Amino acid sequence: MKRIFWVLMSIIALVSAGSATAQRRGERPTARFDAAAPQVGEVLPDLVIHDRTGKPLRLQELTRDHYTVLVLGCLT
Amino acid sequence: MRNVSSLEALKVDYAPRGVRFYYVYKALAHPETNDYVNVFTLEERLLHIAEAERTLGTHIPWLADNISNDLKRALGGAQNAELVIDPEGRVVRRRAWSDPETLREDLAALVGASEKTTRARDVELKTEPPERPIPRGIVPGVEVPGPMQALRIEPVVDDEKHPFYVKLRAEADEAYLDSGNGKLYVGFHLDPLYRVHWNNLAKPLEFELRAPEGLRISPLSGRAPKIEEPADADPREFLLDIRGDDPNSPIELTVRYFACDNANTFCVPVTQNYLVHLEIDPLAGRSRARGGMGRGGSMGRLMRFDTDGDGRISRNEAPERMRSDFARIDTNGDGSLDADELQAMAGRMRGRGRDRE
Repeated sequence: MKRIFWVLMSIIALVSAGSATAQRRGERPTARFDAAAPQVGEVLPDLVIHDRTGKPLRLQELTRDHYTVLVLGCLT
Repeated sequence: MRNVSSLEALKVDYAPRGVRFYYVYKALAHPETNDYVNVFTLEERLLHIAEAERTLGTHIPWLADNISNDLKRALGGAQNAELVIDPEGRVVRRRAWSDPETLREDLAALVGASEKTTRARDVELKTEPPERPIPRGIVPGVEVPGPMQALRIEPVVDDEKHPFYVKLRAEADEAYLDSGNGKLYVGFHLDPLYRVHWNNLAKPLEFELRAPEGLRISPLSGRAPKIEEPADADPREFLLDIRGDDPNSPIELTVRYFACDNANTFCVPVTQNYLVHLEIDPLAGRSRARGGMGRGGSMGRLMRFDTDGDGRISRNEAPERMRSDFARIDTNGDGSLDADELQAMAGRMRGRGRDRE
């Protein structure tokens, strides 16, 4: 069973790698985001994230009562 | 991170209309770019945010994904996703890759056009380069056989709670993933958050592995080479043979090294332990230093200048010595150097016997 898991994960990884190759040609991988992320009209999951000081915040509370733009990013 | 100036311009225009903007810091897309490595604790993630604020000059406030990377997982592992949430908490716009131009159209439709249109170039961002005072490019990296997949690692935190000054990265090659017989990469990377270096006058890094039943690894231990230069900040990398599959337990790894800070106030022996799980970690990011390129080769070294992680080197990212030749290397004239152009340049350099940075 684990062998099947490895093969499936390899296929997913290779598809991602292929998508990364496509990335160099101006296309960007979106399949996993399209499948996993909340759809338009759905409520954002009520996850715990943290502010700049480490204080925990609930995502739904943070975004209540106003329009909010969230952009994921990192140093690399 | 891409499009920072454009996003900051949007905040200038739409914050007065009540729109709130946040960056959410998540696991690295391309660890080892500019020597940054994935963090193990929330505190380290907050240090990454401080570094992002300093090097990118951002004004939009940062939030931190929790250390389990729940938000990144909920978004399918997206690296640069962008969401617009309405006052009732519903997603009204979503995209896998941030697009400030389209976002401006979205906001105009949702809250009305802004009174002015701030351009990206109008935004003054006080940026600073990463601090890297210790020499690099001294210790050659390993050449890997092909694309590698990051394995899930679990640091074992001891009672003294030593910071992980050095962070392990473990990867397996496709041959192992396909057939159970291949290569295991273990790399020990100095975390620049801690401003430490390898003191080459002290004992070199050593590691040892304990393989679970059903798995064979060779060699089971290693020692970093003795280096003539008194200090450097290069990773210490090893490529091992690994054979066997379906182990019920993880690999146990112990590493010993001297952690020496750049201010020369301490140099202490550290012993740390990890569990290496034989499962792909889909959130560990992909190092551009490997995947067939190899950190020891010219391509691996060149891609470290790709600071925004878009797979290309812009003129601003290019090292000084490359800028005078930039137009010549940029054969398609799009203003950035892609992998094909860099490969061609690296090939010309090797052909002239000058394979150096």
